[in-house]
Amino acid sequence: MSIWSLAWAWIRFRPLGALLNVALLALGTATIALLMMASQQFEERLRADADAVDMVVGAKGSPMQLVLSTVFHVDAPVGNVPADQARFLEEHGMIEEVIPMALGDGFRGYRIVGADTTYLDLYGAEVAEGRLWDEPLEAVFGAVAAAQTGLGLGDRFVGEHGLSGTGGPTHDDFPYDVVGLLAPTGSVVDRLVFTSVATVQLVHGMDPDHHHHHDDDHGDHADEDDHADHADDDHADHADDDHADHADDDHADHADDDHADHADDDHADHADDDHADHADDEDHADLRPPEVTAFLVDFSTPMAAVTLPREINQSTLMQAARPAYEIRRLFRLVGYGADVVRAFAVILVIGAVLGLFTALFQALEERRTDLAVMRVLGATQLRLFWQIVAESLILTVAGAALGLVLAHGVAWGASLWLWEYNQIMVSFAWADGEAVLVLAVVGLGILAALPSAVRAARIDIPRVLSGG
Amino acid sequence: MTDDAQAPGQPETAPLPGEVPAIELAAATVAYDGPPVLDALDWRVERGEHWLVIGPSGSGKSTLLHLLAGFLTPAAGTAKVLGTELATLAPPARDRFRGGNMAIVFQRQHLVQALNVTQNLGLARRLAGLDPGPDVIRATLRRLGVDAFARTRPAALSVGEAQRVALARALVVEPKILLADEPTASLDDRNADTVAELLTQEAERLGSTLVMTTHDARVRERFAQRLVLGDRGGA
Repeated sequence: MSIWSLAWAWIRFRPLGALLNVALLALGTATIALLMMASQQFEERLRADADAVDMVVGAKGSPMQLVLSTVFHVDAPVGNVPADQARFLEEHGMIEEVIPMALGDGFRGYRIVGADTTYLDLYGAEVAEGRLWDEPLEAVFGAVAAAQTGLGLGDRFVGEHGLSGTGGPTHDDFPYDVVGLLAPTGSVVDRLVFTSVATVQLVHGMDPDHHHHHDDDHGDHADEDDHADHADDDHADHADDDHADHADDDHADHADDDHADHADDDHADHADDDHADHADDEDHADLRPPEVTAFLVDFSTPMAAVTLPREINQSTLMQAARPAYEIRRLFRLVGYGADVVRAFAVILVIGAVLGLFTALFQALEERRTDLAVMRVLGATQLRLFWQIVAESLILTVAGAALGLVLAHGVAWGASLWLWEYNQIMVSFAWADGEAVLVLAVVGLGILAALPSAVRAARIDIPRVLSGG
Repeated sequence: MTDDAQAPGQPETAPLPGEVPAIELAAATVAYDGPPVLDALDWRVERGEHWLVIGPSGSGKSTLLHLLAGFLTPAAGTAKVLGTELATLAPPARDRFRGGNMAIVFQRQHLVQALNVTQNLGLARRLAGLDPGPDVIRATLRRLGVDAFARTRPAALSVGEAQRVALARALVVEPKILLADEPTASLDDRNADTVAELLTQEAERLGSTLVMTTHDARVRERFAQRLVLGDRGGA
C-alpha cells in the first residue's frame, strides 16, 4: 500500500467531495485555458494581419479607425483620398510597394475590396478555383465569404452600399461576375470579396482613368475648379449610357455601343481600352476624379517606420498609421476587459483551491485516528506529510488535466462548428502558457494541502488513540 | 510486581544467558503536566515472555505502553526496548524501529476505514518495511478466522470480527514485541475469550514478547507474569 494507493483509496472513500473538488478545479482551469487559447489566437491572428502591412496611408482622422477599416476590415473607412496621391508614395525612396485600396460596398455583410492582386501576396492567398480578377466588375471571393454567401464561379451579384449586410441600397447597375474563389488562409482575406480598384471607382461614380488625361495633380485640378467642366465635357453620359444599360440588360447594350469587347469577353479590356476611349469619345459629366480609401505601404528600409509616418502626417493632406503600433494600442485598450475576465477565472481557481483546502482539512479531522494508527505502524511524520500532499496532488492534477481536456474539447467543438458554419479556422492547439497554468494549479493545490499536511505530521498519537 | 510461575502463554524455553532483554526499564518516570504517571519504574521482560499489566484507572497502564512504543520519552530514568533506548533515537528512526519490531492492538480496533481488510494488513506490512506478502496476509487471516472478510471494509464488520482483524494486522508484521492495550474490554465473553486466546497463541507461535494491559478479569488467568501498577504508576 504505497502513498499513492492509500491517497487514492481515501479519495475513493469520499467520492462526492473529491468529484466536487476536481470539478471546481477543472472549471477554473478550463476557463483560464480557454481564455489563454482565445486571446493567443486572437492576438496572433490580428498580429499576422497587421504585420502584413507596414503602414496605411489614408484620409485624415482616427489612425485606429484607418487601420481597423483597411487592414482588419471591421470599421467604417475614414474617408477617401485622391488616387493620384499614390505618385507621392510610389516615388518615395523609403517605400518598396504601394497597394491602393478602395472600399465602400459589401455583399451580404462581406466587404468588397478594390485592390491590386498583389494584395493577396501580403497574406499568401492562393486561388482555389477560377482565376484572379482582371477586368472591371470581376470579383474573387475569400473562402469564408464564398462559403457563407453560397456564391460560386460564374455567379453574378450586385454590391450593397455600406457593410451592414442588412440590405442597404444596391448598385443594381453594376453586377459583378464571380471569376475566382480563394483557398482558406486563416487571415482577413477569407472574409473579403475582391475586385479591382477601378471597379469600385466606377461603381461610385468616379473615373478610374482620370489621371491619364491630366498631367497636373488633383490639388491643382481642384483649385482650378476643373471638375465642373470636367464633368461637362469629359465624362458626360457615361453613367447614363453605359453603366445603366450595363446592369439592366446584362451588358447587352455594351455589345451595341462602343463596349463591344466588354460584353463579349467578360469585360476583357474594359478598363484598359474602353474607358480610355470613354474619355476621348464620350461625355463623362457625372464622373468624379478617382479616389481611393487608402494605400497599403511596404517599407524598403526599417528607417521608414520612424520617419515616414511623421513626414506624411506633416507634409500631406493624408495621415499615416502603422498597424503594428495601432494593434498594440488596441490590445492595451481591450486588455482591460480581458484582464477582468482573467481575474474572474483566477478567482474561480482560487475558490476551487480554497474548497480543496477545506476538504482536506475536514478529511484530516475525520482521519486523525487513521493517521495516528499509521504512526503506530511505523509511518514517519514525513510520510504522513506526503500522504496528505499526495492526495492533494492527485486531486489537483486530475482537476487541471480535466480542465485542459475540457478547454481543448470546447475549442475543438467550437473549431468544428465555426468551420462547418462559418469556414473560420480556430485552432484547439496548446496555448503557450498552459504548462505554466497546470504547474500553477498544482502548486496552489500543494499550498492548499500544506496546513493539513503539517497538522497530520504533528498529530498527537497518544491523545488521538485514547480518544482525546 | 508479581512474577507468577509458568502458565499458559509462557514460553517453554528460558532466555539465553546474556541475551538482550525485550524490555528494560530503569527508574523510568513519565509525567505530563502534574505528578508523574509512571514513577521510577524498574521492570525487565525477557524475550518471548507474556506479561499482563494491571492496575486501576489512571495507574499508567496505557502510558507504559506508549512509553514502550516510543510515543513518550521518560522524564527520568531509561526505557530500553530490545536493547535500544528509544529516547536516544531521532523521531524517524524511532518510528522505523517501532514499525520494524513492534505491533500494538488497541481496545478500539482503529482500522483504516477507507481500506478493506487485506489492504489494512498490506498497509501494516508496508509501513513495517516488509514486502506486501499476500500469502502471509492470507495465512494470517485464515489463522484468525477472518479470511472470509478479506475484501470487506471495516465498517461492515462486527466488533468481534474487527478486533480479530486488528489482531491480524498486528501479527502480520511478525512483531518481536506485541503490545495490547485493553484488547478485550469492548468485547462480549465469547469474543473476549477468543481474542485473548488468539493473542497469546499467536504470540507464542511467533515467539513474540507480549505485554497486555487490562481491567478484564476474564483474561487474567492466561498470563503467568503480571505487573501491577499502583495509583501513582509505581509497581
